[in-house]
Amino acid sequence: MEGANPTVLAGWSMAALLFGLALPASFGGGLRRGAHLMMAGMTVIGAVTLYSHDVMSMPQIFAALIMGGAVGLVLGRGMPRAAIPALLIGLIGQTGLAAMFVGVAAWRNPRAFGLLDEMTDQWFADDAAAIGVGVALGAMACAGAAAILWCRMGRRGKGRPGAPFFTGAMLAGTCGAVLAFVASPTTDRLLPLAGVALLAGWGLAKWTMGARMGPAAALVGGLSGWAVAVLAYLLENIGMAVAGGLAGAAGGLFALRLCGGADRKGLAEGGARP
Amino acid sequence: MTLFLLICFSAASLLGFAIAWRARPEDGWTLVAMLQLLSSAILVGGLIVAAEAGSAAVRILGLLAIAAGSAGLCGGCAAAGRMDAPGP
Repeated sequence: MEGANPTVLAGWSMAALLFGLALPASFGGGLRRGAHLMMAGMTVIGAVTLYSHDVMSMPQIFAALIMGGAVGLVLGRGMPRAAIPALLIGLIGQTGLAAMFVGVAAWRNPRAFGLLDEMTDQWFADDAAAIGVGVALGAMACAGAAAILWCRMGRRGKGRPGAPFFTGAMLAGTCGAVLAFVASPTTDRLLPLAGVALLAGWGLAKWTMGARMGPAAALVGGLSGWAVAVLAYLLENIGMAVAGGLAGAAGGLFALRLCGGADRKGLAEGGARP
Repeated sequence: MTLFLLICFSAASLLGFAIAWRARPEDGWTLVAMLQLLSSAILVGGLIVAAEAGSAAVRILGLLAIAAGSAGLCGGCAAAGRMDAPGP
């Protein structure tokens, strides 16, 4: 088991410490310092991951890393300052899409990740549940970010509240689709799960937009963090679990606080800031 | 291993709750920028999937996840630096 390797454990601990320091360090004008700590943590965890796995496609992996990094740098440095909130929301949605990709890839390759019982050749229920929940949360984050950007483009940040009944029905449908996927993890259960979760994410973001754009952005960030945490359980990666837990808990609670009537200046005036 | 992972996850979640509880609404976009950077840890999931890929389709999905996570990390870091800097 890779967790027994002391080098890997030391790397995960260092990355977790850097993530834990980065979030509080970013407040009070230290956002750049927090971002640098976060980048250091990601570098450590990426290096540990490459060290601990038998990598079969290293050139393609580095090509994807460099290509994605170049696109991100162009977007981050080239976008007008007023468009940075929209860029952040778009990047969160892209992370949700990546979570869907990772979940589907693990589902397509269950033997490599030990997701099947070797005796019966059946799926482990907890691993099937992790894939279902991870894909659903990733789809909700992706669709939620798209809904926020759609409202922002069309209505300049003045969101119209969505229908609570539709959102509740889609959330219940997502739970049912996850349970159906756990019972039988097949393609004809995964596709409806992703579809219903996309509708649920769209409805949830539209509903939260009733309290303006900021709470919806925090909620979508929280959803994408939970998706990362669930997939960390599947892939048994502690660094990912720490990052996902931090993002999910902070985003979810902050969105609830703002929706629940906390002083809404600041994030709520997202159309005008930063 | 799973127990250790759950303990680390629970501790991180508690820290996240505490930070969100203490954060002021004025700090909102700072928090969203950090959430975006934290979520970029999906890059590591893409690395694992691409490293263990048994077929071309799985490898492509893993590489797409790596590219998306890398774009999120670098783009978020650049955007955070600009948000923190004074001026236009």
